[in-house]
Amino acid sequence: MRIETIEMSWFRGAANKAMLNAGSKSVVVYGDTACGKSSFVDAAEFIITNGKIEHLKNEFSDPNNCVRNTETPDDEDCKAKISFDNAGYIEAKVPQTGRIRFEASSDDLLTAVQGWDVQRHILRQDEVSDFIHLTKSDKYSILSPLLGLQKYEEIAQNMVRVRDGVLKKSKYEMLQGEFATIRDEISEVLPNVDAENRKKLVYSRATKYVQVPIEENVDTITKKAITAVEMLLQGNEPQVKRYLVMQSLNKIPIKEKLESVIKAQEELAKISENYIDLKIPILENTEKILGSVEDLTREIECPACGQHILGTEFKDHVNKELEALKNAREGRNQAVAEKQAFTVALSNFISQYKSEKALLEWLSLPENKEINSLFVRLTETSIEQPANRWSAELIEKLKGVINELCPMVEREAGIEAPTTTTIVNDLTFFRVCLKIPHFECLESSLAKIDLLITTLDDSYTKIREEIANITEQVLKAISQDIARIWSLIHPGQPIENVRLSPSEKDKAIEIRLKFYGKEQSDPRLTLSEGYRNSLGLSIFLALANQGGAKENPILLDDIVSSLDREHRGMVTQLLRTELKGRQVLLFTHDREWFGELTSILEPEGNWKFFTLKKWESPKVGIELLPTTYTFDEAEALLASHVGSCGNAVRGIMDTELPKAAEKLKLAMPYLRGHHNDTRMAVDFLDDLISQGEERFKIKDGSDWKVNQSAIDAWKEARSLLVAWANRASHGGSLSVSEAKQLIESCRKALSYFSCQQTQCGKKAWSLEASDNYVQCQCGLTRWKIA
Amino acid sequence: MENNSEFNLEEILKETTKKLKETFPEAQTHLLSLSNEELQIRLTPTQAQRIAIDLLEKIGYKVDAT
Repeated sequence: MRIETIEMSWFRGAANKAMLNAGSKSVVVYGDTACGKSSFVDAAEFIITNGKIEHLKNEFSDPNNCVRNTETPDDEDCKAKISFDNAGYIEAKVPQTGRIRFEASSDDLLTAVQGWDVQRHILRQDEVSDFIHLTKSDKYSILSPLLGLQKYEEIAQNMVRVRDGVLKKSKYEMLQGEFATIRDEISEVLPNVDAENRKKLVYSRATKYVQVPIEENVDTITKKAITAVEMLLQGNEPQVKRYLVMQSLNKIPIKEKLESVIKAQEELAKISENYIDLKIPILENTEKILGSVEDLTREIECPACGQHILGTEFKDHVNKELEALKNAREGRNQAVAEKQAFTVALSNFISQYKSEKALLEWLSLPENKEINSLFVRLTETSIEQPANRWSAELIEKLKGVINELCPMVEREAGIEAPTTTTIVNDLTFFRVCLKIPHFECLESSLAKIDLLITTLDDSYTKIREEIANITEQVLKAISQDIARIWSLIHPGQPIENVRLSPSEKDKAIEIRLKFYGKEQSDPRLTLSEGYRNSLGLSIFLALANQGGAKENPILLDDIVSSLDREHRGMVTQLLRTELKGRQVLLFTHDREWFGELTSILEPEGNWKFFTLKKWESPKVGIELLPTTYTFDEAEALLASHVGSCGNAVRGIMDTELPKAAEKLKLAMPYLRGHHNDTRMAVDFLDDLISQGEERFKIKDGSDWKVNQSAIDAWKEARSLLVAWANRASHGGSLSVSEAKQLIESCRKALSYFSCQQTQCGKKAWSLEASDNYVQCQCGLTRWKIA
Repeated sequence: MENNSEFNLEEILKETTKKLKETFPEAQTHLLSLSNEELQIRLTPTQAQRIAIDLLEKIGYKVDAT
């Protein structure tokens, strides 16, 4: 695709209308500083980038007004338009306010052009070496889309984005932190303890605080223990009190006393104790009974047992009976005493139990329900008078309660009241134990997430490896182009093997070269600013020459400003050869180079040349002249900038004379390859004048005579350039009439480089060359070669 | 320059998700179902997190809605 025209209305420096009519050819546009060259480049960039201009990016808070001419009439739109050789066009309309609109002959064209990478289509003076000065990472970032790697980069980066999403949505860091905290806590209280041993440890410690049924789940036990321990911590003193009461209760031998009662009652049950107290006094009065019996051979009824006993045996019988009764009484009294002792002990036990609040609170805990109920049952048991015979039911009831309660009291009394440190340690232990199921859950979750993250990381790494492989291949191809273009600009120089190379660091590209045989990893280490610029140009052209972009036009804005004459000449050759089939829109403020380009490229036939008039004001805008060289520019200055006129004239002569001199093979140090940028128009005129009398001849009949009028014209031009142009360019004044005379004199001097013969008028550089002469095709004008 | 060395994303992902497949085949399937085209365009944080949530659910991790 080629550009036919670039048109602007009230866009940047342009006023009503400025049009560069390339006509699908390559163009060179010459203009002094601030003539509006870059406005054309801006217009192209604005259209390609869908309304952006890189060097104005900091001004784009108001995109409309940063491209509008300040004098844009209210009823006019600011416009930029590119027409293409396929009759297509794209026009950007920038209203004072509101949305910038793009109109195109077709959506496809708009999409295609706005898909161009601006970095491969436009190169500006201040950006030529920018690429070289970028960091390696930035070089990669810039090149990545140009290398077609952007889509792969996006895939890789999307892996990272999804990975970040996984981390965020799983709250991975929080999980990790929680996991690490619990892991540390566990390793502190349960170092190297497996699940089974942990269970044993929990049971063992929990028994200090709660009853631990062996069948109960370890977590349930742990929770109970935590509750108990927390309560302990709330009041460690009650715990001590409870412990003391338990010890005291344990010392009351109610169980033993009850056993004694039971034994006494069992003994008592073996004898009939009825009327013991009544019978004993009677029997003790046996002597009186015998005294009243007259006949001891008769039987007497025993008042104690009711048997009939012979009077002679009665006394022995009574004594035996009395002994039995006395024994029975003793047994009964013993039983009563035991019951009394038990009753006292029980009363003491219950009294102590009821009097200690700490114990009662402890007993009220759900986990102490069993022992509490035993205490209650014991308290509620009605004890009969010790003198009475206790029923078997009462004995069984007491036995049932006491036999269960006492071991519990004994166990509790045996549990020493823990110190606060112990309690705290135990609480920590139980709490950590309780976290273990959650810890295991965390561990499992983290393992799953880790696997997912590792997978995404591996995918990212693998994609990056593929990108690196592709990058290496692509850079190799580009580097071949860079090296070739570099060698065209710097033939035979000891700076070689210039190339782009993937850096060791990922996503980074470096520029390597050999400097006098030594490998260098950065051009900035050894290359001058001028060389860096030519390297920047080589890289740009190599990139612009790749892929589909090579069919598109490129815009080069003042790209050789830091190159010397020789290397500018090499760039000229580059335009003739490397970029021969490419449409190039070249803008320069270098009059001398413009002259050289005109002279060399014009004969190629596919170039057009334009000169920009000096920019006057926003209202006048950019004015473009389709000419190779002109004094119009100088004449345009007469009215308003006559002081600049002398300088402009000298610049034109500095440009035009060398071109003619080269064509005439003037024997002076101009030929390309010499490093001499100091030649001025006067130097050329001096040589032309001194050699002209011998060499510059016109046909006079059959003879050749000196072209004296040319030599006179050159002499006059030389004298005026020295007298007025130099003065003007060094700040001196120049009148309008002086300026007009200077222009006219120089115009006349240059006119002799065209054939002055009637009906010829060919330019000197169209002369034919032979070994001895360059000669006009009409055969009437010639210059003898030395 | 637009390189000719296209790489096969699906093949790469098949290779890098082998371990994931062993434990969470659904997660692998989901990852492979993301198309080349879908992944060639920069995912917004919301899109990336949506994919992340789907993957987390496929590995049996319940994402807290808060």
